[in-house]
Amino acid sequence: MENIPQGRSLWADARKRLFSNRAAFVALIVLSMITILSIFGPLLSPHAFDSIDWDFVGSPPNFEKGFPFGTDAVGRDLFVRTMYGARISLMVAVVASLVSLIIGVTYGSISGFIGGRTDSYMMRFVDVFYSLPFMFFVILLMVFFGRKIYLVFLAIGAVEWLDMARIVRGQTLSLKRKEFVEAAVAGGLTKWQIIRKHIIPNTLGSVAVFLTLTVPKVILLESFLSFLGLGIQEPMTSWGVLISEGADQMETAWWSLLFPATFLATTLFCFNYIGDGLRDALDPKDR
Amino acid sequence: MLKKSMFTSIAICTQIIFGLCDTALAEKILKRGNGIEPQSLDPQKTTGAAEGKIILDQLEGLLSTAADGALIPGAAEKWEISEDGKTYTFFLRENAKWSNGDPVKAEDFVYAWRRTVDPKTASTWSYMFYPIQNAKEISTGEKPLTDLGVKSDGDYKFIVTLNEPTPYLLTLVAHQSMVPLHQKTIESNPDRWMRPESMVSNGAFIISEWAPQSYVKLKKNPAYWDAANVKLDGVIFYPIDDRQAEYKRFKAGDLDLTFTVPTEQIEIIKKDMPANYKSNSMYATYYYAFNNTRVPFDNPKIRQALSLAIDREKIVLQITKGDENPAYSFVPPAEGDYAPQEMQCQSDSGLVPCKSLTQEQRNKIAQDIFKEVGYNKATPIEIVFNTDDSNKKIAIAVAGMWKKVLGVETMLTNKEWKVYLASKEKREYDVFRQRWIADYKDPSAFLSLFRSDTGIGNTPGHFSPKYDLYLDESAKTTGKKRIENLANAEKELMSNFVIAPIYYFVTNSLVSEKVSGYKTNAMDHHLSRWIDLQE
Amino acid sequence: MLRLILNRILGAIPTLFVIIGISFFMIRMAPGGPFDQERQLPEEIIANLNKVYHLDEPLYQQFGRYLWGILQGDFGPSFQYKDHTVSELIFQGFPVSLKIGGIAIVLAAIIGIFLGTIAALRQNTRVDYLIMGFSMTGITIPSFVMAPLLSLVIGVYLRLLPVGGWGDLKHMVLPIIALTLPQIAYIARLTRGSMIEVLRSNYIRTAKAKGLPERVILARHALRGALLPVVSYLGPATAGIITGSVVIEKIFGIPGIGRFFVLGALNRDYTLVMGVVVFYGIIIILFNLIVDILYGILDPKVRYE
Repeated sequence: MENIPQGRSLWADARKRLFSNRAAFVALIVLSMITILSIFGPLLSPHAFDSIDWDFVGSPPNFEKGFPFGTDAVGRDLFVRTMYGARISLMVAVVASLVSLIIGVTYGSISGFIGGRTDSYMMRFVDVFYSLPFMFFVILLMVFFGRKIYLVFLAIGAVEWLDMARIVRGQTLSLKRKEFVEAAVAGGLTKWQIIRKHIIPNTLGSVAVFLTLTVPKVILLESFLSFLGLGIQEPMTSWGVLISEGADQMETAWWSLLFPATFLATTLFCFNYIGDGLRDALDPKDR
Repeated sequence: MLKKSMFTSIAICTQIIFGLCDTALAEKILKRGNGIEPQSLDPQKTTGAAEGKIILDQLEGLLSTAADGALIPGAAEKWEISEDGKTYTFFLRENAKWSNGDPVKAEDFVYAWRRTVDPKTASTWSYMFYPIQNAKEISTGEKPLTDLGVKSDGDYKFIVTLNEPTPYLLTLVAHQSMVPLHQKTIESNPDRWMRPESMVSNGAFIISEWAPQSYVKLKKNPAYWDAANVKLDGVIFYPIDDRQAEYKRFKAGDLDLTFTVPTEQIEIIKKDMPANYKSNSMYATYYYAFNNTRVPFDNPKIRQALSLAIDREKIVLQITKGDENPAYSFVPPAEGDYAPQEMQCQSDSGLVPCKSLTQEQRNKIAQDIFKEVGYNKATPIEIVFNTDDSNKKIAIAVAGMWKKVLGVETMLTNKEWKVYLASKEKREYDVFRQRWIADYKDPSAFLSLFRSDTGIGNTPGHFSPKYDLYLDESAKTTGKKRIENLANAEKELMSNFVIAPIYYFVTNSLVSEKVSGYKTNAMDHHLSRWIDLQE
Repeated sequence: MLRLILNRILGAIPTLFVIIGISFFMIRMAPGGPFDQERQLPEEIIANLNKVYHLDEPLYQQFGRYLWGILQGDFGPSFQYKDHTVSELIFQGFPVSLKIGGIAIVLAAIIGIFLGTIAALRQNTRVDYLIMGFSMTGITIPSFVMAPLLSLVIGVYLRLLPVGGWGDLKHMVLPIIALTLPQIAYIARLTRGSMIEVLRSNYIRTAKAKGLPERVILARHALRGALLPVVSYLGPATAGIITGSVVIEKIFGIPGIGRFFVLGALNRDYTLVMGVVVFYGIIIILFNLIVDILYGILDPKVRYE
């Protein structure tokens, strides 16, 4: 068992591979640019994210007046708002996805590996969570804890880890019958060591892919939380909120949908290529 | 039998030959967008406007409304009011029939009205009946059902006894909760009598099919006393709660009449299809309620400054855009004797209506007040509204105006509908968005809301014994005296700036070119009975 | 296998009980009641309403009453849609959602697995990029943009299909497209990911070395292994889709059960929400059982102790 690569070298190795993947590398750069733009972009604009220009309500892109993305239905600059939206949405995407990743992978691999009655109970617990009325969960969170940004992550994490857990558990069920796992068991490794060193790394392929599917879900789910009063409140905004506003006026104000949607799509494509790259980089079989 | 059907088919064929077929066979079916799925088609169990439209097409009260909203005789042909204004005698039409052929009798009204105030029915409308003798006592369980101040005298005379003279009773009796009911039908089928298989109606139409979340179909009721003048063969009500979807279905020709118009598209609609766009100025007001019980909003000066700093013109022209009028009074202007009491502002020439000033002048007054009372700008003002696109935009605009004019910071809180209602009851807010649509056309439908002793909608926590006294007086008086009392009450309300009226609410609709007989009106009543379709 | 199924069905009863219990009290804790409305009602009317709907009883008694009702198959009257019982609403709405959702998920599974497999076989070629680009587009366009866009372009501008409503086959096309697109994307991506992994694994390499034709390897060996994560995903996804999508139903005016999830909750229609939760719980448990059975079929090594 001594020849199992140590944690650090695995990650260093993975990083090297990730950077040598062209698509992933470009995606990483674009994503960093969007992040940087979301932080410093608003400085480029003469307008504040919440200031209303009554002479330019619902105006199409107008470069002279400094509205490159046009204005929204109350005359606020959509460029700055898209940038502010990016901050929230990127944060939600990263944090909420990580929450769902950590809980889901741990839960799923433990449930699948230990199996038997434990597995059965753990999966029934997931069934219960699936069925609970999510809206009430959100409303209660807000009622008891008030409007706090970390509750958004909590609320989203609470639903999104379920799918992850089921997928990881399914993978684990089939992995634990594989020769190398049985060998590890025979070698006297503890359950937790096996899960950590053999099971989880081998599920990462599917996990990486599924994670890239989770990101768009959580970004859009955030806008639904806003609807319930838990998410982001005006005058702050997020891409989900901007896009749902834009969708209602796609016929009359294309700019209000197009720009935030383009940013969202670009970001999702980036996450996706990075996810693919990560998967290849972390694949234990190619190591 | 056979002969008969042969005869009809021959008749149809002749029509085909003569090219009359299209007009003769094509049924005239009006397709209406109707907002939400009706909660109920039992008039006593409904709460909203969507249900009202279907119910009033099926059941006709003592009075009805004309296409333009005017009150006209319905099931009652004429009526008499006693000297003291406390007894109304309605003479029912002797030719009015239920769809099963039974005559519409005074007993049917007695039954229906008792059913409403019956605690076992638990009708949300029972408060509408409170002007009637003993209605409240029955609702609270203190008195038996039979004590309700209604009785029949023979089959065609229906007598109502009131607690106080209630001049608006005639508008009340046209309301969706005051229609007659067919007792036998309900008693034999208490939970499902309103279904197509058992419904018995006395109106122009009767339900023929109900597919929840999909449509409610009505067909013409041939037994209706005025059936000869009903042009449509049927009506389909579609519950479409997505405004954008409704608009699209109208554009695709699926609907003849919409329930509403999406704000986002209103400009383009006015430009591209002005003939279809109709705006009903409602007897309704959109306003911000200040929490009068909370510092610093307990100070009328602060409330005045905040109210004046709202540029209502801008909100109406640039945000709502649906031909609303800026509001400076709580009671909306309407035909009749009552003149709304608008907010007054101090100017060089004494008190003048704030409306007559420019926004700059109003801003100046607001700024001066703030200087004078020394407002602490550090704590933001929380504006609470329920999740809705136009509520949100208005809140953003108001926040922007307050910041610009007064330097006040705000915090916008949207809440899910029921959470919003709960925080209203607990008065957990600084400023609260509200809208009031009157149940009946009388200023008291507005003013009774803010009674400080018993007002059940007294959201702002308004307290003024003087106000209550004016209202008490208005209930006891009639004619000019009553109007004067009501006006004094509103003056009291507006001079204390208890609320900030923003605009008089409107309901917009799209009406197809094929539709005739549609007229805009303040109660948004559009009985299908008046409507005709041309191809 | 039979024991697994039997065990799970027996196990479903306590699971359902837990779901009912938690939901029941969670729903009651939320602010606002079913009869709160903009026009605040006088106390006596609220009291009358509470009495008629048994809301004046202590909570445990209401819970008991509810459980007793369920045991008799009675979900109670809807608080919002007062002329209907909850069972009536669910059994009117569910067939509609099942029809659209069922077609959508089957289509999505077939197309998605097919596209994902091709993309994996042609990994990092133009075909792969094209398929994955298409599938990413399906994911990045949210349904509340896709659905109105479809009805606007195809329904209003081109007038090819009805904008909304329910009745004929032609009413089903747009909603099915809107439901299927993102699912195709999800399934294709999942299939591709796991297929790539499987293709690299030892047993496929062995099979290849043996000289078996690619098609046989795919059908007999690779696809089986590759479908595991897809099947894990499809379980809850199918349960979710056949119980309706709020957005799609709202935009296309479909009388399905999906909007009851949200409408019931928004209206604090306690009985309707509970009915929907119980119904959904049963479907989730059922589909997760099917998933577990499919595991056993797809990967004989997976055994259940």
